[in-house]
Amino acid sequence: MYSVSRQKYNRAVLVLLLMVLAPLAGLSAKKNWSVSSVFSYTTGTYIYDSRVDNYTLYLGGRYSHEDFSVSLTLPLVIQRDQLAGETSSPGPSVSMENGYAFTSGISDIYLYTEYKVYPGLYVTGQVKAPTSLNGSLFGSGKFDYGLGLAFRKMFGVYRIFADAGYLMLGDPGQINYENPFVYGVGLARHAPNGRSTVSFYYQEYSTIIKGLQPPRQLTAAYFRALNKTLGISFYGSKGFGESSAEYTLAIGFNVLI
Amino acid sequence: MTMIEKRRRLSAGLFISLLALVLPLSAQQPGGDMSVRQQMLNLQHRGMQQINQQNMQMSMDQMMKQMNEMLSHTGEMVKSAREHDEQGQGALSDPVRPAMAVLSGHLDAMARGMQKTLGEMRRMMADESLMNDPLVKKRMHEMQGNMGRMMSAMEDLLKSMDTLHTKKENE
Repeated sequence: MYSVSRQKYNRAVLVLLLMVLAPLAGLSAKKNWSVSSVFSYTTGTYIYDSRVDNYTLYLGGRYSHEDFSVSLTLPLVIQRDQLAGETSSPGPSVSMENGYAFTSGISDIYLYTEYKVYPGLYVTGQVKAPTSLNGSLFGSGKFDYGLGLAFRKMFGVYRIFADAGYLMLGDPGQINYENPFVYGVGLARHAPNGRSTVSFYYQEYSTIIKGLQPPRQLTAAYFRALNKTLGISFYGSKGFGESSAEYTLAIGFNVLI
Repeated sequence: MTMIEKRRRLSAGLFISLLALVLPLSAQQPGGDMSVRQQMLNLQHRGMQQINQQNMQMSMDQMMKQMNEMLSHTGEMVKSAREHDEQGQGALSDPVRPAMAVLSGHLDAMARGMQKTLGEMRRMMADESLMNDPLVKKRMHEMQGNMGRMMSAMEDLLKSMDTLHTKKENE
């Protein structure tokens, strides 16, 4: 059994990363770049009897030029749960006396790109690369690919955005994933001065694991520009179905140059 | 064909249509294949790995798309603001900007000079031998009052200029 100090160490590292990387991210920003750090708390029982909590720090960057944009995100995760069985995770794992286990690790890096093919219409592509350690609790160890179309249209201060796509998921070995179709619809309201945005977005996947309801989630987000380059964002999500988290709360910073 | 026969045929048609619609859907329902689910339940942590995959995928996807929506809009706003500036209708125009900066510098220098004079006057007023003369004392107090009012007016002017600058910058 690991000591409590190890758990405190993990938490301290996460908090430190959040505090240090958010402002530092701005220093590395170049023209047409934006960088972001989002800290999220996710909770749910899924198909189990006990609750699973995830604390995730998403570090990301985005480059945009004319009709093209590409975004990259790397999640760092700490999971707190009372699940039985081996984690089989090569990352640090801490078991507490009250039955809780803490497992931390790097998840898979996610790349998302958009290219405008027609006013308001974009072709999208995504790749998830296995940056998590082999057998980690937070990654499949395989590449995932996705292709889709996205649509955005402004109506006064409102904007409707929607997307649909197809994902090719890499099978981790012990299980065969169904390649899902995905669609999402959203509505955003932009303040006339451009300093704040409220958006709602619903997304649904088709079956990924047979016998398990696919993920469905509704997210509300609020973005606020603090000055010309720095923005703060808040997210709140409600998941539906047994493979979705019940709730997610997140706060993030964006630095835009 | 009687009305009853027509109704029977219609009901049968509706039933077959419903069956055709529901059968493929029911195959999609969870429970169609319980073995994977049971395996995930038994393995607990290893099962949670699969759920994490889906959650991470969806969370990142959602954040990315909402962030993209916001940033693309912000990008459009910035582009539009730049074009607006280029047309000379937004921030302070080029000839005015340096002139304002020079004026601001002069005002700062004046404020510093006045602050220095005020300090000298205070020292003089602290000199009892000088302040024994009632006329000098009266004039010094008047001067101090006037200087105070001028200082206050200068500060207000500088604040107004700062506000004007900030407002134009934000626009």
